[in-house]
Amino acid sequence: MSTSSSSSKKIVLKSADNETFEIDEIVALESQAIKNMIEDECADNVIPLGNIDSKTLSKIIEYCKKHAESPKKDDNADIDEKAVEDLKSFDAEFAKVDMPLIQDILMAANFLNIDNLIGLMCRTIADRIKGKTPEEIRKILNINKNDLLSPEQEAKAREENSWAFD
Amino acid sequence: MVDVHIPDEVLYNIFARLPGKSLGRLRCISKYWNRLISDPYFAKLLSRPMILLQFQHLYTIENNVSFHNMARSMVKIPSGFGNINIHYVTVVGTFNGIVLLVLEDTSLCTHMILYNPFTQEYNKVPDPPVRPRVRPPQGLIYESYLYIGFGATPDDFKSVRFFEAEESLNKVESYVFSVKKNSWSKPKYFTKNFRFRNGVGMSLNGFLYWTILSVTTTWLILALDIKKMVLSMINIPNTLIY
Repeated sequence: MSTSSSSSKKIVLKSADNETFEIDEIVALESQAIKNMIEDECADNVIPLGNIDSKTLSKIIEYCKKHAESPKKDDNADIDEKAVEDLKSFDAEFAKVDMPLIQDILMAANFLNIDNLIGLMCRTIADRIKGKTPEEIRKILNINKNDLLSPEQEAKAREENSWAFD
Repeated sequence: MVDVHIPDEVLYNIFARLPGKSLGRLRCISKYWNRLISDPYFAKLLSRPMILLQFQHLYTIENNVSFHNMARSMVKIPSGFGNINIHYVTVVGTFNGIVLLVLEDTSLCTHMILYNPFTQEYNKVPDPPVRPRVRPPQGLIYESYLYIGFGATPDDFKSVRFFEAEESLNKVESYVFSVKKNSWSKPKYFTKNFRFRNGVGMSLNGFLYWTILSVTTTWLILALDIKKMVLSMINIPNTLIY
């Protein structure tokens, strides 16, 4: 079993477009999926991530680095509020990217099982579609046009949910 | 990103962060989202604490929404359920996100409605076997008003309604409505040597409680075991005098 003192140990990730990223193990541990691999001793070679491109992966590593450096809530009951605020503003800045990248990060975070990042991306998407009309939401999320309700079905759905359009 | 399929559990993670009003709109987005949000299994996952507000109309507000987002989360409950002209609304109780409302219409007839504030769906509860009598002029209100409660047994929700028996003032007839069976029980009669004080019973652990005034004008608590339909009385320590 690895211990937390082995933070100098490196993990190598390889993106779908064959770019490799060498990161500290402590950063990689932010991902529950990679953590499991390390514990099962399957992480000694390069870890290929065939469904994550390098742009998305570098964003994810940026996030994990910051969160790995920050004091964890359960480490110390009275972590200074400045660190919490700092992390909050980092998250807010981090999420200021376009919607396709948000969705890519979300899918990758889901695959790598990074809980906080899944939460951050879901919250970001929720904030962006809150208060929007169905047309706007379809555009924001690039909803598959083959799956739209028929005009009759949509009229019915709007009628039934007219309270939501007040 | 082109047409990557977002897994359902991730979509629910997003939906759970949205106010009910947004979810109502999301039903109109696509066939798939409409199905997901309407799925009764997940409706429970997506439900959240709400506050029912009664002004001229009833409103629901989700209790986790900040003040400046009120317009996004406040929903006006339809002012007529079907074709009922509401004169007065009583919130009787709530279980598993379902609210029992008693509506008094403009001709003073009462109607019971099971209402889901999250999906805005409602069901009118059929009238009890005995048509409730019209609320009399002020002054007699306590003797004839509807005494009602909404409580849970382990496998069902039940609403209990008491009516003054026609033939005798000392008798009260009770009817129990089972949400599961969607029907009323046969009447059960109780000797009534007390007066109800509040119309709506408090529900706790399978019992409904009302405060009552005994013939000797002492205050008591009336407890009804909803499952067994047995009434019992609890003395209030240090008799309260009004």
